[in-house]
Amino acid sequence: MANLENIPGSLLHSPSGKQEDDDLKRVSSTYKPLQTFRLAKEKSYQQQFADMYFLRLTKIKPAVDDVALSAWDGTIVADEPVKRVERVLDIRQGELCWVTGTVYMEMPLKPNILEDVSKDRWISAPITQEKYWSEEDAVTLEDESGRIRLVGDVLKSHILVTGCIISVMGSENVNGELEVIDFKLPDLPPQPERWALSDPPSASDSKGKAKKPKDEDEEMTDATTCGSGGKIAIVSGLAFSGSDASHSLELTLLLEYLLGEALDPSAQQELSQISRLIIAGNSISLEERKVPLDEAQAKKPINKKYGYDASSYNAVPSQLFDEFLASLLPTMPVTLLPGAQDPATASYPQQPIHAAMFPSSRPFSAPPATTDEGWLDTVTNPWEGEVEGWRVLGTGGQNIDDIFKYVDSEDRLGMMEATCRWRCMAPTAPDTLWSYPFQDDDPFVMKECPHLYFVGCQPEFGTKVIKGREGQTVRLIAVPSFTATQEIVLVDSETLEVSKVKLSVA
Amino acid sequence: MDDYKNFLAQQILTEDKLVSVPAIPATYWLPSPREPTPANLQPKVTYRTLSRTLKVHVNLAKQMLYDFHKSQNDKNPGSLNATYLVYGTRKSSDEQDGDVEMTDSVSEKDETFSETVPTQTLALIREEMLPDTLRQYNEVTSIHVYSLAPHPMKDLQFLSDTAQQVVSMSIEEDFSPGANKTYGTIRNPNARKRERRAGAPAPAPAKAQPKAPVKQETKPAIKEEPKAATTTTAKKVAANSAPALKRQGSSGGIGQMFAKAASKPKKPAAPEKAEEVPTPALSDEGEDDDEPMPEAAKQKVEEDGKSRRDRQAELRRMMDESDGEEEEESMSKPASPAEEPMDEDTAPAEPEAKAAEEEPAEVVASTGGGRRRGRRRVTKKKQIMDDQGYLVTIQEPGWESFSEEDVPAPKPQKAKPAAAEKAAPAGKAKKAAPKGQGNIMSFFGKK
Repeated sequence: MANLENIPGSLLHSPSGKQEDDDLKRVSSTYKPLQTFRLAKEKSYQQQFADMYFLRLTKIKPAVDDVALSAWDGTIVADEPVKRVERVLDIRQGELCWVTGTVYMEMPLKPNILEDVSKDRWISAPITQEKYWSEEDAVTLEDESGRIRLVGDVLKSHILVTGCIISVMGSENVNGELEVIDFKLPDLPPQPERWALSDPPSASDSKGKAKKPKDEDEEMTDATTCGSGGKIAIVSGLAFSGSDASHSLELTLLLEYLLGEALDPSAQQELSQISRLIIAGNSISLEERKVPLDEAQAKKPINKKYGYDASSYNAVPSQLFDEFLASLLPTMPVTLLPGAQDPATASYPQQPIHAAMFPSSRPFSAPPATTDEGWLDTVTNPWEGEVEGWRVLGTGGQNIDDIFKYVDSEDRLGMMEATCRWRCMAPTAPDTLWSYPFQDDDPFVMKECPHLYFVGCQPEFGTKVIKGREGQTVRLIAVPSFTATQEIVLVDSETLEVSKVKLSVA
Repeated sequence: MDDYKNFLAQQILTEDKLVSVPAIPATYWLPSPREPTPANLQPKVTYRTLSRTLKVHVNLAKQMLYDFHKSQNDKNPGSLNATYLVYGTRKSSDEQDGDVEMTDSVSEKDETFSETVPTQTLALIREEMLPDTLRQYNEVTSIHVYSLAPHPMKDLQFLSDTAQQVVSMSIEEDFSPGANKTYGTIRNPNARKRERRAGAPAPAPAKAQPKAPVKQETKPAIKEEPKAATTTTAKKVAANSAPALKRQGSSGGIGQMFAKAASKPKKPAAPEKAEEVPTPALSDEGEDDDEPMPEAAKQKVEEDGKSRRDRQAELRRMMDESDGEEEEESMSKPASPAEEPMDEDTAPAEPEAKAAEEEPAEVVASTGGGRRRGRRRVTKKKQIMDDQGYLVTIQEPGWESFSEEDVPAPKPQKAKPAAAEKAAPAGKAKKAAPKGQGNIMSFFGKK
């Protein structure tokens, strides 16, 4: 129960005449993006997708084999020792064995390219189902030699989707199915130390730079919060729109909040601890683009000048977003991931949104043809980097959204955890998640375990910490769509503790 | 100090003042205040617009709004409506009753899946809702007046218009650090901007931007170009000019592209590069021509020098479309070799038709680097579904582009005249291919 009288930071009084001279400085952000998901400018689409599965299997198989070997070596089930089998094809009926391979889900509702081709359709039909999941789904395990169907209740204990690599133990029954007794996942990859790539800002350095504000900081934070240091703000689904103004005031409030103009001096002091904003996809609204289409069809003569109908093209959403960024950038660095709705490539990994989309915030981005990061860093989706020394992995959400279609579950955090345990952040690429046909490397395989793993554009907020067998700890965050929940996520840059801020307009 | 009161009175109370206190000399904000104002045009002042207009700290502006609101409502209750910004933690029990009641099942699940985290709520509320809202909070850490308006707002979303005003006001002020200090925006000493070439104004309004760099680049390009034209360094065959032009689309202004083309040949590695860059990655050619045979290269130098001059002449003409100055110079000088292929190119529609009748096996578009490229006639299998639903495979003639090792390699000694001949058919073949999408050069050439 709050009272108007006992609010510490109330500005409900007349100007006192005393000019507050608190010149707030934002804490600096240590930041090192990685180029893991960058594609070459000139890329070929001629190769086949099969290489990706092969690469993934060869990369992850040793890890699963290790786990499986340590678990099952010398195991005797019903007087029969478990034997290791190299290939799926080597499984003999009635013999107890274990084998490693790629999971393939046989799903009647899943779009199938072969079906499209046999029906003489050369463009894949738009996906209409929200879920591919059904009762008739069958789990199969395959490698380069063959494929075998897996049965057994134990498979239901963990979500499985096409493309993840597992080891299974069991024996083949008379139907040619493998009755699974147990299965193993590769589990979390090795985790780098904090500050593996970037140097921690040394104490003397920061003192020399900003001595006075630093002192002030300490006093203030002692008094107000126990926040040990900076915060990283993550938001997704801003969905700037030219026609739908239903959440434009919330966006304005968000800007004022991040700028540190809203609220009272002590709260503003807290806000100055937010060192970086990460935008995890869907910054521009999609509805915008459907409306003009109908109009354009109504009136016949369309003057297509530059490949699109200039009269029906609406640039307002991106202009609004540009304005938002341009106002924010002088005070805060921004990392911008594209999402499913953004003007970037459609297939995973999405390449950075081109800076030309942002005429007024472009000066803050890195000059072209340089490798150093910009103040406004438009990055790939998924993206990997080091922020405040922590290894951060983030996506715009498509990978989890696609896994969501495979399973009968709403547990987005569980799916995020599963991707870590599979060591593959986008197993369903290239099957149902559009992907670039990688040839030499499958970047979706997690080589190193992140400290912080966030996924944008999710229906609701969620966070938890998962732990690996070698002491890895990963903070998982499902970042909600701002349009849906008006929430932003703040991550403490020392402890990776999460808090959120909800903006509401009553 | 009190001038903010006058200002606020002018801004907000014009409508009411006309009735109650006509003494205020108001420069009317609204053209006809008597008419009912549409909601989005209602006068409204937020702390940000006030701070930008009076150039005061936002926190001071918040207090000014409060003071004005209080003094006005003391005089004349209900004459002003305020909105408040409240920041703090809500009661969790209330939250479940009030906020998430529709998604009870989800919130239950939420507990099982996710940790609960501290949530701060930043709420913008109307004056009349303030007591109710405060009751829902566990703790309010901060509160201030957000905006004032003469009437209760039906839809608070109209307040977002004021953000536009602030943006337009601050664009003029050029995000200087001083501005941050005045308004109380948190400063970031590390913020860095890219230096704009030739010192164009940094965060210029969007409209001005595209113009400035293009202009600047055009000038040096033209100056540099006559020099470059004389150097007969290697460059790709005439056939390349079209793709090269396409490339300019990706790299910005015409002038910039031109400057690039002019400066490149000075580097020895340039020919290979120029060859590769425009090749669309989707085509199957352009893979192995990194190592041109030395003799062929020498011979290419000559032919290329010529075609390059042609190309530059054409390009210059393109530039003159806008620049108009050096027209005579470029037309008079080496323009004639440029004209010849052009003239040939204009008529190729018929030869193409003839070619189709005669059905030559292939048309060689270019030879270079030990490879032949062109299009050849092939019979393609096509599968269609007939009206009874059967798949029918028919064979139909078609063209297919190819690129292969140069089997009957043209001898370097002989190649000199041959190359000239070849260059022409090259242009022809290029021209003939898609009638719908003509060569952009012919557009500029035929004026």
